[in-house]
Amino acid sequence: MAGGVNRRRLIIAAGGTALGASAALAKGRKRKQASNQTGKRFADKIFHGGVILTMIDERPKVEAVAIAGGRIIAVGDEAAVMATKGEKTQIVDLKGATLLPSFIDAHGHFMNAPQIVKWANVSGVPAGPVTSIADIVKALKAHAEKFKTKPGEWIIAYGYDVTNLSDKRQITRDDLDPHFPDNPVMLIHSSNHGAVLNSAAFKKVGISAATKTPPGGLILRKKGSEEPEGLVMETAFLPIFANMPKPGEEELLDTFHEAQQIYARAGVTTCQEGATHAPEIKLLRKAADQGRLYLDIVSLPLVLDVPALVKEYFPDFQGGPMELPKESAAAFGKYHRRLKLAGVKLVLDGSPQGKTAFWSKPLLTPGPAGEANWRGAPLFPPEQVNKAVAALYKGGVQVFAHCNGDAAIDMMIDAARAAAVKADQDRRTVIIHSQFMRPDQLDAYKELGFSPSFFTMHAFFWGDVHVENLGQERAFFLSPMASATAKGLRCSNHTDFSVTPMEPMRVIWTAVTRQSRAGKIIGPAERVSVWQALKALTTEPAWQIREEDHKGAIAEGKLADLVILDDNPMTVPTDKILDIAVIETFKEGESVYKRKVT
Amino acid sequence: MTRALPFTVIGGYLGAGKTTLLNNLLSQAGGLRAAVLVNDFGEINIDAELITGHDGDAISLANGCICCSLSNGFAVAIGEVLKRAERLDHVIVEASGVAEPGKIAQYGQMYGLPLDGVLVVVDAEQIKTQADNKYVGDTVLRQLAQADVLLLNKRDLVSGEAIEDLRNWLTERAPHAPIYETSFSNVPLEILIGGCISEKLAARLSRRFFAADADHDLKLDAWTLKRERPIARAVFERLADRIGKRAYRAKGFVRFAETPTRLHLFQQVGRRWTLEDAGPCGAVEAGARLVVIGPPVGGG
Repeated sequence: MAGGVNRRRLIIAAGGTALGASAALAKGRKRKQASNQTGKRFADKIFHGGVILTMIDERPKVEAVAIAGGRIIAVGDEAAVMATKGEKTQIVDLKGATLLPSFIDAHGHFMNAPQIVKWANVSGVPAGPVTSIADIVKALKAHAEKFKTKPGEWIIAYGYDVTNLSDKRQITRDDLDPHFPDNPVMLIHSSNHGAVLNSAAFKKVGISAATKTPPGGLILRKKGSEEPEGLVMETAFLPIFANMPKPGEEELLDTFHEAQQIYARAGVTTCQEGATHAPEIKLLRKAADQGRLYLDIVSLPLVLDVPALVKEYFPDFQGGPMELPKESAAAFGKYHRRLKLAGVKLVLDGSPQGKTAFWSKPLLTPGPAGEANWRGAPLFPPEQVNKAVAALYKGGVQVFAHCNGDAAIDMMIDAARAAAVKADQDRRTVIIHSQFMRPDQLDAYKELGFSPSFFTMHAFFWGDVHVENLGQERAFFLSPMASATAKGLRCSNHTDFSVTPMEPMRVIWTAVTRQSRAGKIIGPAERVSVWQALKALTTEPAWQIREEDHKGAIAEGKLADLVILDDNPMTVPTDKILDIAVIETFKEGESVYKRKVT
Repeated sequence: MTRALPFTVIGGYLGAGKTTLLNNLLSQAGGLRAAVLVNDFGEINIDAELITGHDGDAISLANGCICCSLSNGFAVAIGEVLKRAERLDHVIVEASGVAEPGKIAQYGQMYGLPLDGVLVVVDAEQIKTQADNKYVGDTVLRQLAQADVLLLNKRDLVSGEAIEDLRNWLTERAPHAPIYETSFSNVPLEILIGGCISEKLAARLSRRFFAADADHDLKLDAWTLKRERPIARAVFERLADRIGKRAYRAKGFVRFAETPTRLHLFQQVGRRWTLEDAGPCGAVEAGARLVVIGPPVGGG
């Protein structure tokens, strides 16, 4: 597959740049800036000759930008910025390309990246390359070749879904066996609740004709026999997945470069690890200590792991399970070698497409196990949520709460009111997803200082399903970015990587068009301007993670976290936004990704 | 092949008394080597002298029980249990306060662990308020409906009249589940765990609960059903259904008239019962021999 080969080369090319960059970056911090006799600093680089979008409402466009020592030192007219030019200043001619502040991942799961770079992508177009069974085989072969997989080693792929296949049937072990006789193959279903296995994999996990299907599970059998055919789901799959060999710490750390490249090549330089378990924090700290991070990573430890973290980092603390030591607030909000704990993550419900979100009114369709009048359920009792929220507010720790359904949102509103929270306290409680809000809840957000991080990618990926499950009125208010903005709420927009791919351009396009796979507009009234959609990836998430002084806009004094795009999202026809590609990404002035010139 | 440990789920809303129940069980297991999977280690109150080992997610006790944390998920906890399966008799899982215990029961079955029962603890004082709560009301009702046996706890906090009303209310919502009334989560092991039922135990149980104890009402009876000749399967199934209307649990062996040379193991909890082939048998064995525990006949 030519496309695959090109992309691989591109990663290798980018890899060279990035490794160089991180070393240079370390040096850069110590390096004294060249300056003239009046003490004025000279620029390391000056960008000009293209479109420069500052993301600042008062002055959205400028002619040139100068950076030095990892920060922006001058912004404005070409003449004024050129005054910072010294002998060693590199002049970058954008040649009509568009320069922006690099994107901030408002919510996603960085720790999925180290795993995913070791797996083949068999997602359907556009999240992956697959439209047929033949495409899957091709993707697996390319993956095995890339990783030089030895006989007996697992080949694991993600994103499998029969609805993507023009063959109109499930892929079976018979499709896979001729190509992979010696390697166990597992194609993980896009729901993560199942997988297709080949014969070598069935042998390895011990599933055969003699295996009974457990209650709540599915093992597809070959016609007229008990032999498993390929697909296993739910309770038949989960123990298999839990018993898969886990990569070791070193193996994971070695993937961190490629993991960061997923972000860098998308123009993202601040990544979120938005649901971090205690052992993952240890791993991230190790990566930071070893100097493996060249992008910023914002981690949100899960609330259930807080007691374990307190035990590890405050061994003398004598308080109860959901109490926090006085010093705990100090553990948050500061970068240590590119890793920052921003706040604590609470998860109040599940996902709307899995029908595990928590709504106040029932769905129009049955629940995941066929339940009538299903409206999902909370993941924790309100008593526990209130207690945790009160403890975090009292301890001065920022709260990031995952709420998809309006009932889960109500629970957070109740908890914040019980803790006497008000907007003027500037707590910036981020309600991650806020997908199925009710209009009245926007006022509560305003009152409590809640800030939504929306997920408009859903309009494209699951919009049609949501209309079916929830009816038009509720589905159309999905991630209501226009209404929230009109209320004066600051809202970001995210991919929830790896739930949807790390594609900022698709995030923008979904916010602007809200177009579903079937071409339906999921809530025309909630479409926003390209400018607003861009702000939701730059200035707004910077504010949500309390980094607005350093990130999200092109202004003097801010970090030189920048991205060059090959076209201007503000002026291309809307559907061409999806075709815009990243030319180069800078983290604090250093190139961390550069498109290979072809 | 790991041993197929029987699997009990303890469900019920936050504060119903699940943790107290498990604390009682861990300290009074009486030789039963149980693995207890709990949501929060911190809430489990184990006498430090009893602890013989502490290994991350698992605590070993001197009485052969172990306690595992569910904080890293069911799969990790059950992995710890299955590693030690040879030294264990039973698995008990505490469902979280908002979990559906019926779904947790499926988790056990996906590891091939036979379900020994779904027991749901009910807070006699709070249950109706909880069932009306706008967030958790429907979850609480689903928990009740999924119970094989309801453990009506904290009955000391409720008047006799209110208990009668509550029993009716519960029976409407969980018509298949017999109700065991208790306070301080004091529930006999034989109700929690099918494996504890035997004729010897039945005799002991009768003595214990029929004793003139001021603290105990007459609330548990045990009896043995015997039949000399093999029994027609259809007749037996009708009998099993009848037992299930009143009894908490039953266990025993049966020979069917259709297959008189095979013995079958019969196990029942509330309305749920199973029969499994237990191998060939000689002609000397009785047709059926069951131990049944339930509320005293005529009592409530």
